[in-house]
Amino acid sequence: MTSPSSRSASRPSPIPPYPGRRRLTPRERRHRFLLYMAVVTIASWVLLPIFLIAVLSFTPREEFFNWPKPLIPSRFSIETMAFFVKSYGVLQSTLNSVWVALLTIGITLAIAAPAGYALSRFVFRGREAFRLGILITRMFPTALLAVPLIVLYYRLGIYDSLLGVAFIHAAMALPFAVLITTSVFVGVSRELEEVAMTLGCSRLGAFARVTLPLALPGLAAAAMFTFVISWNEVFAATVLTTTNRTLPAQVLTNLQASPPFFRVAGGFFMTVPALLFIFLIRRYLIQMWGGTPSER
Amino acid sequence: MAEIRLENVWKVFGKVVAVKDVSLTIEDGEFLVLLGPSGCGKTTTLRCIAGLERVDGGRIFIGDRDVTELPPGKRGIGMVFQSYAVFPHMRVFDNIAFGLKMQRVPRSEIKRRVQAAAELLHIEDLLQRYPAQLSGGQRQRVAVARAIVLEPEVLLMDEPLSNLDALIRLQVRAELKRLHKQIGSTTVYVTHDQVEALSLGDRIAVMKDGEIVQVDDPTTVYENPADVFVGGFIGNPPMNFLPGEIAAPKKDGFLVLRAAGHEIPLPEEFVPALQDHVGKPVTVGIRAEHIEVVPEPTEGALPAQVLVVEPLGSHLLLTLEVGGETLKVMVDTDLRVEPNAEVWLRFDPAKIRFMDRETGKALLP
Amino acid sequence: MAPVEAPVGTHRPRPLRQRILGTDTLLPYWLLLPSVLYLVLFFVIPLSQAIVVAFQDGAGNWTLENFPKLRRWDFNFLPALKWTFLLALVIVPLQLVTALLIALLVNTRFRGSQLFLYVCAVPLGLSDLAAGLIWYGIFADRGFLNSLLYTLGLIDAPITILTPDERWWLFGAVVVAEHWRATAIVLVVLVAGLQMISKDYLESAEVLGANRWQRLWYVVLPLLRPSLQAALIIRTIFAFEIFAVVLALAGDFLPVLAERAYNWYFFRQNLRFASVYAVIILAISLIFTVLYLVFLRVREEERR
Repeated sequence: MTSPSSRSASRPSPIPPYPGRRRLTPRERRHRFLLYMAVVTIASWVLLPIFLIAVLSFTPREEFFNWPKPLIPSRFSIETMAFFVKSYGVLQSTLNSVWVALLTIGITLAIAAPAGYALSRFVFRGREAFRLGILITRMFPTALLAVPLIVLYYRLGIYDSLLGVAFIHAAMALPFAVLITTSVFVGVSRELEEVAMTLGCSRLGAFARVTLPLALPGLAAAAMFTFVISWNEVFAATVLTTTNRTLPAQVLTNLQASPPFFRVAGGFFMTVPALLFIFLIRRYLIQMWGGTPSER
Repeated sequence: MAEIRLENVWKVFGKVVAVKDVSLTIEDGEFLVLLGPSGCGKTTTLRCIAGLERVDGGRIFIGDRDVTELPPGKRGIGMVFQSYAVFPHMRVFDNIAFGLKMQRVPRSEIKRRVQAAAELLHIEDLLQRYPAQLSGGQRQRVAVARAIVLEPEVLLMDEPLSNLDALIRLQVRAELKRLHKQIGSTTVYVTHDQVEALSLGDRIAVMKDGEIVQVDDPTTVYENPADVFVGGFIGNPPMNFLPGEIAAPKKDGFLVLRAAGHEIPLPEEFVPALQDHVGKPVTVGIRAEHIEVVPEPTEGALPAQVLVVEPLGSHLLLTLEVGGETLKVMVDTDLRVEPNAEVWLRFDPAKIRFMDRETGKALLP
Repeated sequence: MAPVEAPVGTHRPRPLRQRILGTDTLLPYWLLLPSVLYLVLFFVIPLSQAIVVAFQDGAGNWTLENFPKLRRWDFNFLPALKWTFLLALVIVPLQLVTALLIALLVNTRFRGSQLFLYVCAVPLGLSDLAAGLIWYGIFADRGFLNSLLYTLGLIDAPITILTPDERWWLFGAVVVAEHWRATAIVLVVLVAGLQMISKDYLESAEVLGANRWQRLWYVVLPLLRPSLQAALIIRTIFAFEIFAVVLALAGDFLPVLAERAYNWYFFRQNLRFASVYAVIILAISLIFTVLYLVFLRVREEERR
């Protein structure tokens, strides 16, 4: 793109030089100023609490109860975080949370990806009904799902197990995962698959050799979104376990009995990975709400 | 190489009949164009031949093999898609080599054949690039190379030029014709562009509402359309149609055409075919270039009023009104006419086509 | 279209594997089967289970007695209903307006708007518990808010915001935290909706003489209705489920429905009352969804 222009730049050009950007009128400049003021205000409103809790989490213990609290502590300290991480059950519950999230990802993608593929590739009777069903499941309150499952889980012997928690997290993530995977597969042209079939692949082979590699980034995004859902879920994880707590369940059940710095450090600790993943999948955040694009 | 035979092929999507009882034989080495407006079933027909759609009825043969139940990869076809469908995650070389790898062709031979196919399409310098680094025309060549490297008996193309710029399209069109001469695969080519169809096809199959209306060589399709639809679809401007009547005013066996309040004597060779239609209403079809515009009243000429004059560079396109009907006429640029001027039209009687007013079907063979 | 005539006897039996898996008619159903089964297992069964438990007595007879019984036994039942509704009533409209403003701001496509959008979407990744704890750090006695007020000279000593004596302060704290946390989801839905509105409509309206506000009112908002509807449904449903934010900021001093369900199961092992609460939440969600669907109806012929 740039090479032709740079080549011609060495030659004297008959075209008058680009006059530069037009000066904005005072009115336009005022508008722009107001716009950026609004943007900065809103962005600080969103970011400031996160910043503050980060600061608080790395404030030395002796300054934690200082009054008035300075915006920036006198020194950087990991005591508060260390206290949180070393508290009884935190490390184990963090591990549990990771395990539950991984299990959830596995279950969700194994079930959602075929459905997303079907919705993206085929026009069939019942397709709209299925999509409606998926939408309706998003309406169910977590309490309604979790409470009745207690009995079922006892009977199945998976009460207080990580697998049990992963099962319900997968149920909660499934509708979203179906939506994301559908749009991911719609993004891979079906003609690519068809051409592979004319070149000698079976349908499965065409999927494996062409569609899957191209869909991989999108599927990774779906996995991360699933991770966030599972990592953040509190209610079901709390009522479906008694000893094998996930991190949010552990923090919640110890909330009333724990000192303020434990709460703050816990809040920060739970925030970090979620923020990281949201950053990685930011491209898909808007996409997945644009309705399921149908390929018609 | 092989001929393709479709026998009573049906394809139904829900309540829509996309392909309706189509039977067609495409000869070995032939370049057949499937032409029709969008939604006429031409692409579906092609996809049925490719095996991308399962037919709901009928059988498809390639050579002596009944391929109706075979998956696309086992039919011995190569296909070029409208979007080219070049794999974005593979280099050009791997794109072209894909089909050979599926067939487990030895590596050295893959290399040789990819090289040969690339040379045929003048893309041998692009083999190490990724598709994102290619222009539309280059991607199109990759798609074609990928299809022909397998030396398929049958080459299927679905509107391969429609995503290209007008200038490149002309160039690639000529190259496709050359390529077909060189490799000789039986080729089925789908397009909605009648100019493409006329320039490329050994024969053209015109489709409408899932049925084949006419299969003929380009000249015949142009000059002797099988019905009003074909005449109106092919040619730019489309064929003119006027209501008329065949009459036999004298007993000498000559016939005249009554149209727009005038009588045009018809050539002798039309007499046998039209004999039975004397006194019956017909639709008269005449191409824009077969009407002569004269500034003075002449024997057998129809008076007309000029409505619109459109200079097209090489010609003038006139829109005229004759006895309540609108006609399009091509004339040389040196004719000076203004809108609202009165002119006289002479039809070339040998080029007049007659259709049944009711069915629209052509009356002459 | 031409009438469908049955094509005659041209089918031949295909291999079994292909008959089951290989055809385009059956394959999608096989692909959907796991999700359908899973959703039945994890949605339909719990739903019926909850209804059975909520509408039966200990002996297994159908009854409506559980609802008045709950009212008698749980003195927090009516307060929970009140606070949940009040929270939803305040938070949802507030979020809708804020999100719409931000979405319109983003949609002007100023330089940096994508970064701005991402920043505003950040809370999407936060759990309600984490968000509650973050705001706890701000609202606590020696938290940042008190420090700020002191620095500004508005107070002399820390005031206790999160106290059971001041329910409305607790309420305000929850509103702020929940607004901060969950506006992002509305925003994302609305931005997606705005992106689907072709610029051509706006430019046509501009050419026809509509000013900025008229374009917003007569073109953008009507076209955005499906997204507004979706955002409202999602947000309202989540609002009636409000749980961990309240627990983190107010403990059980601000009773809400989901907290009650948790409480009855967790501290008193009473599955029946927990289920009754769950059914109540579902009923409210359903009523609001239907209301939105009726009042923000998008006629089929209006869809693009």
